[in-house]
Order: sequence, then C-alpha cells, then structure tokens
Amino acid sequence: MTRFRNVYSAAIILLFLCSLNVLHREGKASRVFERIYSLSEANIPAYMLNRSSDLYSLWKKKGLRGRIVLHMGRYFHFVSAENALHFGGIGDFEEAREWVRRGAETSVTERNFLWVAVEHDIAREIYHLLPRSSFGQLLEKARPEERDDEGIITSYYGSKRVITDRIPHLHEPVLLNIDASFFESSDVAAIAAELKESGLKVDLLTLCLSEDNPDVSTVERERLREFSRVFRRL
Amino acid sequence: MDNRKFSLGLFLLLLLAFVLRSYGFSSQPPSADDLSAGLSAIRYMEGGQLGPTMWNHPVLRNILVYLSLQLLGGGIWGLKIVSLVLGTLSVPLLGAAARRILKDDGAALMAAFFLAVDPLHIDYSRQAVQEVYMPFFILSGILLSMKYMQKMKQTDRTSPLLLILSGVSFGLGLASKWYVAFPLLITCACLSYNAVRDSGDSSGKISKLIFHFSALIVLPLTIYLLTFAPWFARGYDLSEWAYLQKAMSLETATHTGYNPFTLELDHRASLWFIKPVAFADFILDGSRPVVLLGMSNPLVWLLTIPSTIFVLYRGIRERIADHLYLAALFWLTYIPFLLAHRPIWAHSAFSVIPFSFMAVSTSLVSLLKGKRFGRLSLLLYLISVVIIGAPLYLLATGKGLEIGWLRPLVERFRPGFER
Repeated sequence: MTRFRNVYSAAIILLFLCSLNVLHREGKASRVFERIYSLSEANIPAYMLNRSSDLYSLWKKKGLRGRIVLHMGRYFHFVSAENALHFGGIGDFEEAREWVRRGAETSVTERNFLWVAVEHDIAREIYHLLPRSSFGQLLEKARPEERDDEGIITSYYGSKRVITDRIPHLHEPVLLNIDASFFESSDVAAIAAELKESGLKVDLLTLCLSEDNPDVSTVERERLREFSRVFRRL
Repeated sequence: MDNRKFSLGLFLLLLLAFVLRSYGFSSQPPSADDLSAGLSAIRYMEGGQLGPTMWNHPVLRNILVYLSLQLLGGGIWGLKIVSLVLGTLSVPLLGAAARRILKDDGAALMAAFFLAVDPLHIDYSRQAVQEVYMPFFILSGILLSMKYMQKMKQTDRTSPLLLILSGVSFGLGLASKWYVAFPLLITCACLSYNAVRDSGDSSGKISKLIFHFSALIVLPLTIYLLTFAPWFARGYDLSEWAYLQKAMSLETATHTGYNPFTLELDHRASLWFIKPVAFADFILDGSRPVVLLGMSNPLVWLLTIPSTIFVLYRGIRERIADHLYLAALFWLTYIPFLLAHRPIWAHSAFSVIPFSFMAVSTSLVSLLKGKRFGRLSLLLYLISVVIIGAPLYLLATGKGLEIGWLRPLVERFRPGFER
C-alpha cells in the first residue's frame, strides 16, 4: 500500500511540474514576432504613420499577438469604448460572442487604440513612457502600493500597465511606438541617443504623427520628423 | 436511523431544495451581475481576457458558465444553471458530510434542511455568480476526505482515489474563490495529524504525509493553475502569472464594490451571526423594478455563535475529535473574514454556513434529546424556521415589491440617493 501511495504522490507532483512547464512554454509560444532588431543597429525599418488608427491596423495586419507595447507619448490612449463590455441582454449567444470578438475594433480612435490592442490580444502588457514633466505630476497622485522601481504599476483586469519616465530594461523584443506628443521637449538628439543606447530590441518601430489628436501641435509633429532623421543617422 | 431512511430523507430534501430554487427560475429577469458573468465567461474562454466582473477572483465560474452557454444558449438557463445545480446538490452533500462529522442522522438531516430553505442561499442559487460553488466544492472535498480517513482507520488498504477526488474537489473550490483554502488546510492538517498518531512504522507515516500533501495541496494547486490555461494562451508566462496573482490579491484586499450603494448594505462579517444580514440586487425588467433581497434566517443564523462554542466545548471536554474538527472548520474559516479591512458582504458567509448549520443542528439535538417535550420543541422550532423563512423566500425570489405587506421591508433597502 505504501508503494501505491508513493506512486500516486509522484504522479501528482509530476503532473504539477508538467503543468507549470507546459503552460509557461505554450504561453510564450503564443507570442507572435517579426524579425527582431536591436535599437543600436543602423537602418532599422521604421514606419511613419499619420494616425493612431493606422498604427492599430498595421499591428493587426502583421498578425502580432501577445506582445509588450512600449508607447512613448503624453497620452494613454486607453479610454474604453462607451457601452463596451456590456452583454446587452439575454439574446443570441452567437451575437454576444461576435461582439466580444469584434466589438472594440469597430471604433478604434486615438483615444482608445491601446485599449483595443489589449482587448484583442495584440498587447498583453503596456509600458507608457511619458515625458518627465507629465510623469512627475502623476507620480505625486499615485498610491504607495502602485509605485515601484519601474514606475507606477497598474493593471487592466490583470494585464500589467506600467507608467514611467525612463526607458525600461526589457529582455523581450517590444512593439515600440513613438508618438509626436512625446516631444514636448526639443531635445530630440538626446532622446534618440538614449534610445540607441538602451539595449532594447524591437521587431516593429513606428512613429505616429497623431494627426487625429487635436492636442498634438504642429511643432511636436515636426520634432518627430526630426527625430526620425536623427535616429537614422545614429 | 438506517441507511434507507436517511437516503430517503436526503432525497426529499434534494427535491425541496430544487423546487425552492427553480420555481419561477425562467421568469426571473437577469441582473447586471448575471449578464456580466455571461460576458466575462465569453471573454475568458474565447480570448483569455479577464473581466469585466470579479476579475480579481479565480476563473472557474467563467469556464463553467461558458460551457453551459454553449450547451444551452444565451438564455437564463445557459447563464444560471450551474449555480442552480451546485446550489441544489449542496443540500444532500451537507447532509452526507454532516452525518460523518456529527454521527447523528437527525442532526445531519436538520443541517441539510437549514440549507435547503436558507433564503440567502436560495437567492444565490438563482444567480450566475459563483457564490454557491464554494459550499458545494468544500462539502464534497470534506466528505471524500472523511470517507478516506474513516476507511483508513478500518484498514490501511483503502484506495487513495478518495483523497485524490477530494483534492480535485478542493481544487475546483479554490478555482472559484480563495477562501476555500481555509477548510482545505484544516482538513489536510487533520488527516496528517491522524497519520502521525496512527500506529505503524515511520516510513509508512512519511508516505502517508507525503500523499496527503500531494493530494490536498499539490493537486488543488495544479487544478487552480490549469484553469488559467486560456489566460496563458494570450502570451503570458509563469512570472506574469505570479504578477497576476499579486494584482488579484491587491484588488481583493481593497475592493469596495462596483456600486457605491453596496456600502449601504451589511458589509461586515462580524454582523453575520448577531443580526439578520442581507444583500440586495436591483433589476429593471422592462420598466418594472425587481429587487432580489437575500436575507439570512435569524432563527438559524443567530444560533451560530453559541452553537459553535458549545461544539468546541463538547469537543474538548468529551474529546470528540469530529466536534473539534467542525469547530476548527468554522472558526478558522470565519476569523480571517472578521480580520479583513475591506467590506465583506453577506454572501461571503457561504464560506462558513455549512459548518454553522451543522453546529446549530447538533447543538439543538444534543440539548433537547431525551428531554421532555424535546422532540416537540424541535418540531416547533423547525416549523418556526419555515414560517419566518416563507416571506424571506418571497423576498429572495424578487416578489417583495409585488406583495403589499412586504414592500415596506424592500423599501428599507432603497438606495440612499433615491430616497
């Protein structure tokens, strides 16, 4: 009897270890990447986009999935759509499923494209890299349990969102989007150099002029264009 | 009482529980929680995404509600049948578990009767949220563990499958809400204590201890982990799962409800057994308001504290191990709720009312057995429970606003901003 008990115990422990391994491995295997570059490399392909909705469409078109997004910009773009996440009533189950599959994507705007990216599995984590002045104001208001070395940590139904003013140290390649709204400061060269030296890896680098955001100025868009030229030369 | 009579008693209670929980089931409009539970189930199973409701709790509800939606469609039955079934089956499970713990068939049936007619449990057996899952899984886990323990005492050759099934049951409970960990740990501790005390060589004892740990700790953890498979499929790894648990526990520790009105309802665990407590759900059925007001039956709930103390006292004085086990199940599960800083609403009492009902029934039977008019007193008491429970049943099933003399009671729960 002792021997049988030991066999059962071993089987249960093995099942646990296998579960840990399989879930971890399959989870990572679900992430979809393109060709990976280090930011320190020269001639990294970059996409200049006019609107935030174009950015979301590009991510979608490339079939990217389960990714960390590093968004450099002054805004969060994380406003959930009105009447979103609402099971309208007892109706057709298929209708509700279709809404869950497509609902958020039917109205992608500059106010919500990062939220849509999380809702539709393109992003599993988001790092919001804010200009220093914007971050300082937020940090003062954050609760103590929300702060750590990375910055302000919050979550959207368990999906991690980090708000920071420093380029994070991430081992995994990221989707890097640099929004024109980041360029409150005119020190474009310093920002470009900091990125080049950061050690970050990317498979998709996008520069968004945010022409659909009325709060982004022409000067900031011009600085983004200048950043693009400087970054290519480094 | 022989086995046939006891089984017949349980069957009748099962029927009673089913009738009370299913009457008017289809015509009760879904609440916001019901609809959110349906949406959360679809989001989770089709995309691994948590929320919108109760994202900070484990995810078994999402899995079971999704399966029932697939089988039965998006109507009331698809949304809520899991709660109806588990809530109903909890009644005979309580009777069976109580029989093993209390060693008194009459007290066991009485405990099951209390649950069958409990208005708050009836209310939540008719909702899609997971509150009635936990008593079901806790009771089945305890029942299987006790069967295993009792067979072990008779012969050392009992099948380990009983304890493995117990671990599966506790694991499913843990995957419903974390507080199942308390009765799980207590049960594991009891089994292990018995294993150490038993005669036998040390290698046999070590083997038993390792097996108890595997079946009742490792296996439930495995099941808990596996329920997150759809979430992992979004691209997450183990380190991120650990972060998720931390985020869930932070939200759980600081959660103050989705609606400010809920803070006007009873939200302290210390009140559960010293006054009638209630939870209200407000629904608009077209333009007609419906209020589901689940309130505890004071004739049963208010006997809890003295009964559990009496059970503990008897357990110590007369060295009744099962009484000590019951007292530990109640108090060691209840105390963490007492110590919680955040609001704790009445339905969280489902964590302890199976034990509470066992304590009340065994205390009443112990005190009145053999006494003159003892049986009559018990009968009158049970009739009183039914008489008090009848209007509470109407309130729990949303009929309060339709019945003139119940309206004033429902109106007391009108949100402050509407008064």
